[in-house]
Amino acid sequence: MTPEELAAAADPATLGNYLSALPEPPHHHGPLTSVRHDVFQGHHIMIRTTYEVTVDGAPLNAPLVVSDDGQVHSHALPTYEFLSATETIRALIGNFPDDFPGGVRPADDVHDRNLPHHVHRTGDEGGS
Amino acid sequence: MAVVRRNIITNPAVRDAFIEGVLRLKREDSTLKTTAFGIPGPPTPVRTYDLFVIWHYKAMMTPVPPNGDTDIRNAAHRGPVFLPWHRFMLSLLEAHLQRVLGDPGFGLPYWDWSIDGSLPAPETALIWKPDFMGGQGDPVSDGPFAFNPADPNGFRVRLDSGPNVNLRQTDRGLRRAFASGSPTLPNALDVGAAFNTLPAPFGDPDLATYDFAPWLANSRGFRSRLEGFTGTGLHNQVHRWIGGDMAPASSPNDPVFYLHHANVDRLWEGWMNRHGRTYLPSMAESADLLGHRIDDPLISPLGAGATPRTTLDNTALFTYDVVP
Repeated sequence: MTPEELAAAADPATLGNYLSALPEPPHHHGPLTSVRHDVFQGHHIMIRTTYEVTVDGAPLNAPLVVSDDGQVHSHALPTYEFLSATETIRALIGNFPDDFPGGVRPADDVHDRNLPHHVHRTGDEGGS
Repeated sequence: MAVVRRNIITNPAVRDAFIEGVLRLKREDSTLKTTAFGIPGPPTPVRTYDLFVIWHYKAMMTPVPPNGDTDIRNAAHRGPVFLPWHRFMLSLLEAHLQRVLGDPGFGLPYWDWSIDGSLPAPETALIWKPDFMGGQGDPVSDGPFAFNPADPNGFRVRLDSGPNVNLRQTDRGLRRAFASGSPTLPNALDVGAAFNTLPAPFGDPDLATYDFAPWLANSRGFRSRLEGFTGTGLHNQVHRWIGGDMAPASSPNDPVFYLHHANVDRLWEGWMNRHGRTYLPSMAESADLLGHRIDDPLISPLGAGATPRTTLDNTALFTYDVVP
């Protein structure tokens, strides 16, 4: 790659037309199901996990999956890993205030938002 | 001739050029409308800066393998291609900034967050002062990206992704919520640990290797450590600490995204100085990894011209003033 090649590509239409031609991303219309497999003492284990979540009675179709190590992940917050689905939903509510109207909003001081902090402990088996 | 990427804290001229360039890209009409990207709502002009938000989102929503799950591995994250893809994205933004600034010598600055992570109160760091990126808030109310509802050409967030990971139109100010998703930033010890290949328990010899099978978010090796799915958090932790618009898939909405990723890229360059310009997986791996193998095309407008291999040695494009 040369500076000239990059400069030639640095045109809004070049990037825009390329992006507009990419396939439509998949849309989440309902709960996702995570399937985990393990083998222990010669036994094959399969765990199917589906979260059905409501917030204030309304269905929440945010994608939630469980990884093999038991951590919960939502692609809506791609840099987070959670030890429980409850933590995940709390973080979604805190990070997307416009999508969860009503409730009791914390004070204007953003330090008081009390969002659940990411917890990452290598090898931890919590939360699924 | 290669440009030099410099520390934004100690180079006010570069800082001011970055800010001016971002504002120009925010004002520039890309000539495409939201409908061209399948974004619901009335057809609305898309600014050039916001094309990069769409790009990041679309790469994040491209599963690898194609019938897989974006939450497991996608075309820009949670796997080996994380560092090459973002390196190319930064280079193309840099080229756009050079174009709108009329300055082919402009180099994208970086923010060394590990210095601020060593402060007792990172929110007091210079980077958040009004002369730099402004502070936190909903909306951000000071600095060059402060929200002014009366100024249609001011800095506005026009596209974002929600809890259903849908890209949608909006019209609001930038949001930041420091410490909302992580109590602090990574510090110099965290960065040092990512380079420590001593035997356990003092270090981790696997960090001398770029990545390992099964090539997942938390696989062994340097990539996952720097991306932040193993170890203390590094890249991921910075997104979570800043919060607000840095949290969702539309995180390039915050110009700090680029300063942050320039620093991530600088750390990768430091790793390659130690261990060579090496990358894994090779093309011998399964096609299920299409997009992550060394000669696979990145999700980019250059097609086959941009692969992980083409990003390994970019010293003809840019260098850093200091490489750790």
